[in-house]
Amino acid sequence: MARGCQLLILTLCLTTVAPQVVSAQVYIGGGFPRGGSVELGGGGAWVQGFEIESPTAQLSRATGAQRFDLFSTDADVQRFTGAHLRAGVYLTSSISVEGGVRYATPVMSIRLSGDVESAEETVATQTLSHYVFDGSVLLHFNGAAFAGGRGVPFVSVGGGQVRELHEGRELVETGRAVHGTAGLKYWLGTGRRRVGLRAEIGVVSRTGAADSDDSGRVLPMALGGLTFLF
Amino acid sequence: MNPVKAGPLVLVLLLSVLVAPAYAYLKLGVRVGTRTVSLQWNAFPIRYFITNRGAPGVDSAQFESVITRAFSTWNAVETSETSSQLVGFTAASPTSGDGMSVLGFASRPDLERVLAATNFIIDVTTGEIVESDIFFNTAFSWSVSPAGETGRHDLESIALHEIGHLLGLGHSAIGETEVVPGGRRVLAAEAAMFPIAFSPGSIADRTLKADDIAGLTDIYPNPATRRTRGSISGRVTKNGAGVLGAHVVAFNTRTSALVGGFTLSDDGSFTIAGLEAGPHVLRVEPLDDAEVDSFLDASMNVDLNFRVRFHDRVVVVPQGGGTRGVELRVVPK
Ligand SMILES: [Zn+2]
Repeated sequence: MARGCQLLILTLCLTTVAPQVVSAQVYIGGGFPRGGSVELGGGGAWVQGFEIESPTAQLSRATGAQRFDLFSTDADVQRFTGAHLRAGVYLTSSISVEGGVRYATPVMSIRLSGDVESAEETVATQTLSHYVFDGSVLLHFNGAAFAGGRGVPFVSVGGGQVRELHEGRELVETGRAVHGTAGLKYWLGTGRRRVGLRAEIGVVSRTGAADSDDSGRVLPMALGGLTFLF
Repeated sequence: MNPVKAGPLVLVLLLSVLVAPAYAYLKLGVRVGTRTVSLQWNAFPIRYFITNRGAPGVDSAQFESVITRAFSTWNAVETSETSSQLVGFTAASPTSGDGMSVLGFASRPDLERVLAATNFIIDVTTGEIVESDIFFNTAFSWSVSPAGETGRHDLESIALHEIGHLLGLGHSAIGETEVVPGGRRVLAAEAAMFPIAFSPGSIADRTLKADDIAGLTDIYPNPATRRTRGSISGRVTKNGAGVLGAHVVAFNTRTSALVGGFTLSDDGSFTIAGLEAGPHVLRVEPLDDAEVDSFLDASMNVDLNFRVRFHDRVVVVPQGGGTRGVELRVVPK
């Protein structure tokens, strides 16, 4: 942190007095992005699957007491991969804010079994369209940078809205998602404009949307891709 | 009373008889030319009389209280719009077409398996119900006890079922029975409109279930319901041909609601309406352990030769819309 602040001050001074040399000077001590730098990126995403509350189809008995089971269900959303895009801006050389969208098409499966009239066990499926629109704050650990400042660890926290469209795209359900990740950016260049690799792992806590469990759930998540600095 | 329309009227008698299980609600209909129209009341409140004749264990005041409560249960369904009004007591018979809708006890020892029955006067050009009477058979023992009475049928449960008919609903088939000497015994059911009553003493049928509510909502939806409830329609096929008389039940995996429908034409098409939005799984079964004519016209060539099966797709019901084109393929037994 302390080092990041010093670098920021240095960069601003140079900009004021000698703007023509900014690109040459900005990576002195690591070449970290400066406040106002814009980062655009995208790539793949992976999210762990989860089980969904699975009711049993039941009938009422004459006594109103114990229920009569017609058949059982066992539902889950399988782990899924997708894509993400994001755009961010650096507030300082170590802090940036981002907005982004993730998209995937997870499969919801419902296993139907235990039928009272011996219907063959069946797995019914549908494909969801899953969107997350979120915002994040990133803290970059410039002091822990390596490879001449090209490799920069960071952590990210944020949250946003989950929108899931059921198959047929006529029924949309919304929920909330909060995430926390830790990752690494590895810049392939040191110029003011450069491309890099970005990877992060963490968890996403989601509530609602196509998930019937209102208490929410925490799922492992991984993101990776290219990122561009301007 | 509802005025009698210019069209021809016909008396329809609907009995509660002992039949077997399946899974569906069914609207009562009448053939008008080449199409079938649903029976329904067009004017509310439904004005009805009750007879001043009680039965053993039930005086007229208790009868009035039970009938009012049963009407109120149907009228309280939030997704539909029905209302009713007790006009008063009458000495008229609950079985005659006299321009008054009358509910009361009647002695029908000849109908030894019929607890109660509903009949209608309908305008067969429009399907409008003009009059409907309900009788409760004094050949059986009745109870109005809040907790039920051993050996006596619960009047409120049976009244709820018959008033469902009065409103235009046919029998639901969401239930399971077992064969016993002299008929069938209900193991379990999830619809007040299931055609066989629970054993005497039970009060389990005093409440409406999802299938009953969907059926009423299908006939008398309120404006909000039209925007929020949806439907599933499609076909049941076997070797590419339509299956007539199959039962299709939709299970909402979010709410646990069970609502069903029948395939009612030779092409195997079905529609299940009045469904809450959300993902559903579908189950189709033959009406192979039932008296088919308890549900459908006896002249229909109902196909019983196929296996119970689940659909392998989750079917999503949108709000205020319908999912069409669902094809349930079944195989012969
Ligand atoms: Zn009936």
